[in-house]
Amino acid sequence: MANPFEKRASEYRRDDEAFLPLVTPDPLITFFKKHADDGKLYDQLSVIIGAPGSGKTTIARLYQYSTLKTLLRHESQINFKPLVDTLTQCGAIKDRQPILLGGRVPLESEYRDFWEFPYPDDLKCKLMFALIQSRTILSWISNLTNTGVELDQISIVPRGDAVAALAAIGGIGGRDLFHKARAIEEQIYSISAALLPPAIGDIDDEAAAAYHPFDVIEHFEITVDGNTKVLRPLVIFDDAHNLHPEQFTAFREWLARRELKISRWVLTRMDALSPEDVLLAQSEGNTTRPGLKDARELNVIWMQSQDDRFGKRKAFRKMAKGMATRYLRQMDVFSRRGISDLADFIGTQPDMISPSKLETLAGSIDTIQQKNGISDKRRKTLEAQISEYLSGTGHESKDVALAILSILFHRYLNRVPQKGLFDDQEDDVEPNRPLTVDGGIADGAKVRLLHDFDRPYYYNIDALCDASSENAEQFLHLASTLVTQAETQLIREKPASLSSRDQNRLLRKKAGEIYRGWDFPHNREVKLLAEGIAKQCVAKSLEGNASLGGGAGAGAFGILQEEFDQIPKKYEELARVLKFGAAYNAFVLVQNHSTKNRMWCQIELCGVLRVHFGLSQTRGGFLERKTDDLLSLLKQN
Amino acid sequence: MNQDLALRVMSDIMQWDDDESRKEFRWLKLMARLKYDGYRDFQAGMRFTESLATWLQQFDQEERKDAYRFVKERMVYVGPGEVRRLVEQFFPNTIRQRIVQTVASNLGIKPYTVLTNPDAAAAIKRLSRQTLVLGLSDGARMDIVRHANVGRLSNEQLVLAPQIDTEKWKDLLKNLREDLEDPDALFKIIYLVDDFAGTGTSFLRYKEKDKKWSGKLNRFRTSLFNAISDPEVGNIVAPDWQLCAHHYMATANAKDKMIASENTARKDMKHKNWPEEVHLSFAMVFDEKLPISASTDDAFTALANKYYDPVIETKHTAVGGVKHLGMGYGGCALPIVLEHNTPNNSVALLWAETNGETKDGVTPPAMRPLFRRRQRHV
Repeated sequence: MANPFEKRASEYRRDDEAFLPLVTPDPLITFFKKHADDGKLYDQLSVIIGAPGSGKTTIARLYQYSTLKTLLRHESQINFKPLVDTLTQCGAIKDRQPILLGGRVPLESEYRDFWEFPYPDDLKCKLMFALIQSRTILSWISNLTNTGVELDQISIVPRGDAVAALAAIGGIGGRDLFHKARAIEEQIYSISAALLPPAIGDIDDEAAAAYHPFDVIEHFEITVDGNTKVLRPLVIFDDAHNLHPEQFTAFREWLARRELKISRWVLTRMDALSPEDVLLAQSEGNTTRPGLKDARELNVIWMQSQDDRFGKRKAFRKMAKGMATRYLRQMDVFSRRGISDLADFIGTQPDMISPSKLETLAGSIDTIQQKNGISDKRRKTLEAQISEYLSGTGHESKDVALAILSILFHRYLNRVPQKGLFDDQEDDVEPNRPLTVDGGIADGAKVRLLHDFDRPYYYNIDALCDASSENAEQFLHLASTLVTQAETQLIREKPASLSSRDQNRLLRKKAGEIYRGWDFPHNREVKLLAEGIAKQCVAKSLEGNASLGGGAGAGAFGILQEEFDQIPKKYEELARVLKFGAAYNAFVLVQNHSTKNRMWCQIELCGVLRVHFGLSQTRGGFLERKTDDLLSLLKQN
Repeated sequence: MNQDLALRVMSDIMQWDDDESRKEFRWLKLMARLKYDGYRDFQAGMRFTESLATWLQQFDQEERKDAYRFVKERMVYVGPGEVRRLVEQFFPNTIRQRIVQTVASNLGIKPYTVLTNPDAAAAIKRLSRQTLVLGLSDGARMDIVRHANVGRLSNEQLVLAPQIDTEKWKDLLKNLREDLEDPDALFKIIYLVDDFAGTGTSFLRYKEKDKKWSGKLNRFRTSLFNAISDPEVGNIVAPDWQLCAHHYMATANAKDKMIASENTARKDMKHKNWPEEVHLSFAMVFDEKLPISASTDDAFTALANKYYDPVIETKHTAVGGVKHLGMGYGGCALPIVLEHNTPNNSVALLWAETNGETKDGVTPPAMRPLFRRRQRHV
């Protein structure tokens, strides 16, 4: 079969049976459980915001009633148990039965077309809302009938105060609801699909105006053989970014009304939000949530939020490994040989640089020592420190030891007074601060070895996960190149294992392809910004003393938070570029980062860019910059 | 042979390293699944990748790269999806246009006004029924034409046979007259349809030796005249009838030749029952640079000459005017494969299969096909 790593989007899986084995429960725990525990997930309007590939549609599809029924039908399969447990914790399943009637309604371009009609906004909204509600009813009912429930076995329980509106939606019976919804859909579709928009006077908007099933329905009931089951309706609007910005705002305000009893989710990319919403939504001082001023009405779930980044990275690694296992199981070449884990063939042992390169490196360090009169005694002390550190990590390698020594030499020289022309060159001087070896320096040394000697830096499963910036699709794209290589080797009757050199080469090549393949709005400007940031970070990382947190951690620009907060107001274009950069995984905006007693916003390069430009995956380090620096990078356009 | 084994064999034959293998496996798997495995002559267990591995082995190691590059970069495979598109476009893009133009011209109105003119609408309906479509070979895909045009063309307007016997003509005429409720109705437009023209000689050629025209057009003419001269049939076509020939695909060279031949033949074919001109149309014409040439494809041209068995030359192939078939019938040098058969105008290395038997003390190489051709003339 085709490599499933290259076929990520859940829309491409036609059957639930093919879709479910690929779903991993971890995102639900990470992003949804907290909101379910708070009781907000199903009571308030939930706006779920994520970049392409973050798993929005997968979750939408999973929550559909028919999918949950399929899942529970195959529950005995060992692989589905964690998913069932997680959905139970998230309040979608109770006592091994779905308690939600989930229906997914994709908001495709057809709805946007309403906004182009030459009608007053009020009428456009009325028509769109009626169409959306009719399709939601049809989606709920088809979810039920797809699982074998007859129309006559379906009914709704209306809200007590909605007697008049009840008649307009067809009544409480499933059959009546269905036919009314179908009639409303046809009526409005004939307007939206017309070659020329009908004159306002020709539109019979009365029926549509009175059609408010969302205001009427409290819950659904299914009665089979005298047993009645109650289901809470949940509508999931997918791809809401397709709507016109004004339309999106009206849509959100309409759904946010407190009196609605149905659960409603809106899934969208960041495209639909204003630059201000994207740039400042997660800023501490900002109480405004996207689009609506009163945050109490809205439950926003960011699928790439910046709180507990360490925890999220850890959780993503676990999820990604689980996902890779599920995908690998689908590939005969691997399953025949009992390989079900990426770690089975992704080597963790680094390849050292060649002896001739090692000699060159050693020579350059000797030159530094001689040129600056560093004593042999000092060198031996430093080498002992390095050896002690490396033996503690369990990864002793000559090349890294030498590269660390080079960094320590530079640091030593910065911490001792400059020698005079007639001073004794062999005198050993104590530095004004002690030199220590830590993970940061070792990481900096490895980055330098990558640039200077092409020593593999990006290898092993954790590096692969980190390069994905917590984005499932990105992870699968990157993993696909390694999986395809391993598959090729197996086909050629060779071991599947990939050396660190192969992994590093393949991942960097793939990262370059992803970077060059960007085609989202403002991608040229985002590239300019990314490239500018990356170049300066690389230069900083390669400084002799690896000054920034070991030197490798520089993968971001830091702008003072108060200055960054002004960007949406003062620099519209820059704000737009940053918005799309964040929306499409180029940048991660880390707000309110405290360093040197000041608050910063980091514009951090995503994992793919770091791999492409050769930067460390260690996060946290940044170059202090100003808004003008960002503007000057864009001016090169 | 399973696919993995075939791929491994390929990597051995081509001596690819892991990186090349990864890249090429990806391409092979994709193209085999998407297109080439659908070739009608392939059998289970011996589809594209397996055939390619076998085909490449006839070449010396250093020549295999050139042969493989030819398959990857120069070969044009026309699959069922593409053929279907071309066939489905036949009525709306070609027949319908002619009908509308004819009616508009007869009524003296602009073609774009016919839909709003009741007389034109009625005339279009009548003329549509007076149109007859004759498939000249299996490649005319009359089954698809029929399915794609339900409600526009009736079954009685679609015939697969270039030479229709008198009985069939009688039958066609009877159905036409019944449908139109007009005992004197005659056909006004006849379309001859074929899939592919490589040289154009199958359609129309002049036999110098016999000093007469030959080909499918001429055979149709004979069939028509025989029927008309039969007192039981009589007139089949109206005095102002139009004869059209439509090819789904043609090379640029074939198109030019056919237009020239048709022009030349007009004088010789002149007859009261024959129209003054035959309207030629082509759904797709391959670029004139498509044929392989020594200047741009020197390596593969050398292979085509080196791996050549003259036993594939027959009296039928000689009609094309080029004896050596290395570059295909008529020396067309086409790199084309059609999903149901490989044209003999394509380079022989693609389709020829021989045993390499010694003849006159010379043992030629045995030719192995990549896309075996089903020969029409044995």
